[in-house]
Amino acid sequence: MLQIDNLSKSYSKGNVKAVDGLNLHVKPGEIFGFLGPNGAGKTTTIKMIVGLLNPDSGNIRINSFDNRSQSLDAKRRIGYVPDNPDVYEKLTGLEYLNFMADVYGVDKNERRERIVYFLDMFGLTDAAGSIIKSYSHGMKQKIVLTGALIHNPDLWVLDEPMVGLDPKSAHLLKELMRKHCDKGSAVFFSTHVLEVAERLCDRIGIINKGKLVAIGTLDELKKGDNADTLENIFLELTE
Amino acid sequence: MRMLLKLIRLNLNVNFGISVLKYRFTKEKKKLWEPLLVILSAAMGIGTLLFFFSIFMFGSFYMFRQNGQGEEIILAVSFLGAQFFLLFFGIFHILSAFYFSKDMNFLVALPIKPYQILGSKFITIMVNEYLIALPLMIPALFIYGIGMNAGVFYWLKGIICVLMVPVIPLAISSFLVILLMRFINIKRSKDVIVVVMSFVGLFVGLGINFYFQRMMNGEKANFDSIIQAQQWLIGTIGRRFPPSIWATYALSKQGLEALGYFLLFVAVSSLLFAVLLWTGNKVFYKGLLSGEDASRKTKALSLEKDGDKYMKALSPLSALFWREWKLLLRTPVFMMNGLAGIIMMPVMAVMTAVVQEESSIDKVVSFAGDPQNTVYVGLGGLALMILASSMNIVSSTAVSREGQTFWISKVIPVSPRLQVMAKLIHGLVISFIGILIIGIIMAAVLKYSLVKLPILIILAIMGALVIIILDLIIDLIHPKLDWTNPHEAVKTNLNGLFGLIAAMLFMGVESVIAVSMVLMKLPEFSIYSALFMLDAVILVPGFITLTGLSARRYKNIEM
Repeated sequence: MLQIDNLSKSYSKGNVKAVDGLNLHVKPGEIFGFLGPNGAGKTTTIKMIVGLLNPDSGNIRINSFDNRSQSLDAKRRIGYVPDNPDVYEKLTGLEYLNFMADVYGVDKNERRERIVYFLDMFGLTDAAGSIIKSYSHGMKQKIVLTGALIHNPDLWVLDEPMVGLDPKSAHLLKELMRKHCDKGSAVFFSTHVLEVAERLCDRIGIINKGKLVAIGTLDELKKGDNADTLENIFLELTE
Repeated sequence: MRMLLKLIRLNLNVNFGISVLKYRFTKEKKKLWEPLLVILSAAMGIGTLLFFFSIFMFGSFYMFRQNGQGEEIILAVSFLGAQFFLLFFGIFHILSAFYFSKDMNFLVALPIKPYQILGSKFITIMVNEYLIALPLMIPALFIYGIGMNAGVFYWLKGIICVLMVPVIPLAISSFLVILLMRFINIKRSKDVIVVVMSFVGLFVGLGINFYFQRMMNGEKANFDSIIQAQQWLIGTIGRRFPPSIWATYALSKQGLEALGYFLLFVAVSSLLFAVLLWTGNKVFYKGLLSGEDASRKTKALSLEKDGDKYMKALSPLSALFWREWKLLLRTPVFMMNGLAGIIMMPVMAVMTAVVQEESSIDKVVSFAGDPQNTVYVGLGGLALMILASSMNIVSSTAVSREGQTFWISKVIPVSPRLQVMAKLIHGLVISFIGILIIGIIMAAVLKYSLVKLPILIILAIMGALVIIILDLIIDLIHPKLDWTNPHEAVKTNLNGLFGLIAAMLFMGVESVIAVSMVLMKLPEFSIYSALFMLDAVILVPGFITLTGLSARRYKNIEM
């Protein structure tokens, strides 16, 4: 579903290596948790996956489409939620969702079904007619999430998706992620909440200073590191 | 006091982006040319204005000097001009800084007294206003000081007066704004207020212009010389707003009288500032915090029932076009800079026509009606159409206006070519409004031939397209996406200026061709054909460049 080969990216004229020779493969049906301390390269990696940043070297394939040479095909298969929900504040929630449905080519019936479903699920139905500027951070996060999922993408790429969500919405999102992957799709998400990663993810990757320092299922990580919890593994690997 | 100073330092840092510049110079090092270009452009712009203004001031001073009296009028005109300018524009800046700036939410939560926030914001605005006020006052200060061989005290008092000039008008603006906010909860409809005030501002500006034009027309006899005009100005306006006259007399009178005026000016300025801080401490937060959540009004929709009404499927191009439209119309500063030019030009034309004596309008109409003059009327109309269509920043900031939401344009599966096409169509629709208004005026007032009018409209559309393509290319090359306030996307975006320069250059080329052909007495239609060919020759490569560039830039701009 997502294949990353030898991905590298540096800033400040090559002085700071944000991502350094990253290789990973997310399989269909898999929830992949991407962990790392602040500034480790998580968001940079995610931005390269969705095409917001250009890698210095390496390749990214989404469902076998190269995300640079076949960018439109790759983009159609991704639903992306950034860590900061900067959206068109002067559009209403519904206008934004319609816009996203239009650009992803979602037909009338499907969009109606999904918009009603997501808005109801996230408790946004009453706010859908108001401009996004009037929304709280969590509401913005939910509208961006809905916009990202409206075309039912194969791969969800979520950067810190739980930040700003109330416990109920976070719970619903986790359920959605599971259901989505059970249908053979995949989720790639970054998080700082280790409990979420521990309980939700099929596999976990830990990145530190741009390098992937561990990858595998929770059991595999535990065995390799002789530690009992993900927190201990994380702390040991990122020290 | 220490807290106040700290806040002033913080506000000035944020306002002028000092830390950002430092970071750029020391860490990023890749955008060094950008601030340098801004400084250079600003210096060139202000320098040119300053040069002409200084010549005007020197001319006036020289005239008064020859007369042997009234030299101080140049000081009075400068102080009065600066204070009026600050009084008027200060209201917008104060309103925006006191009540609509984003940092207020964060500042209010800190253990800082209201007067400290207010005072620091006030000083920051004052420093900002110096950029406009100082060029208005410095030439007069120097010309008068040097011309009159003034002593050390003149210069000392002069510097203090010049620095204190913004205090009174800005304090008055602040009182007005604080009172307004205390009793009317305008925060709820901030956008509407901004648009209304901007239009009021524009119409007040035009009204003053209109009033002076009428007065000049009607009372020519009373204004035999510039001396009398200026004396009238000081006498009438100065009586209603005396601080400028105090500052003038503080510098132009002698001995104790001068000292008295100086102390009066300084004391009133300081007193007003103190009263402002005191009032601010009492009522500032009440206005600021009232209706914080008022805008979170929800309009419940019945999606199950009226789903079809709210969820219509559009093509990606239409969706992108409507996104541009809605965001432009719903963001006051975008709307003002996008549509005001188109609306104001015909209004100004009509106002000027109204001011003129009736016989002169008849003369214009009969001139236009003469078949021998149709070529002049046609070309003049075409020039006005293209001018009206280019008096906006819609296309030259089309990418910049997306700001931090540009990530959406980067991740959606729509080719950059199509995305830029939506911006091009959007720009063209707005230009077309301008073209149409001029067309209607030509047909209705000048009775211009309805057979030829479509030809002019087609040529104007082609001209507008050339300008839009140039504007889009300019903005694509270097969009200003890093802004937090929409004002920055249009007001401090050099692309708007470059776009206007490009439009002027293009219109210059068209004018040279048209005028040369008229002088050669070539037939009217050959001139239109030549302009058509010119537009077509520019449009084809322009369009190819634009589409190629859009693909490259959308890919290379990193978020």
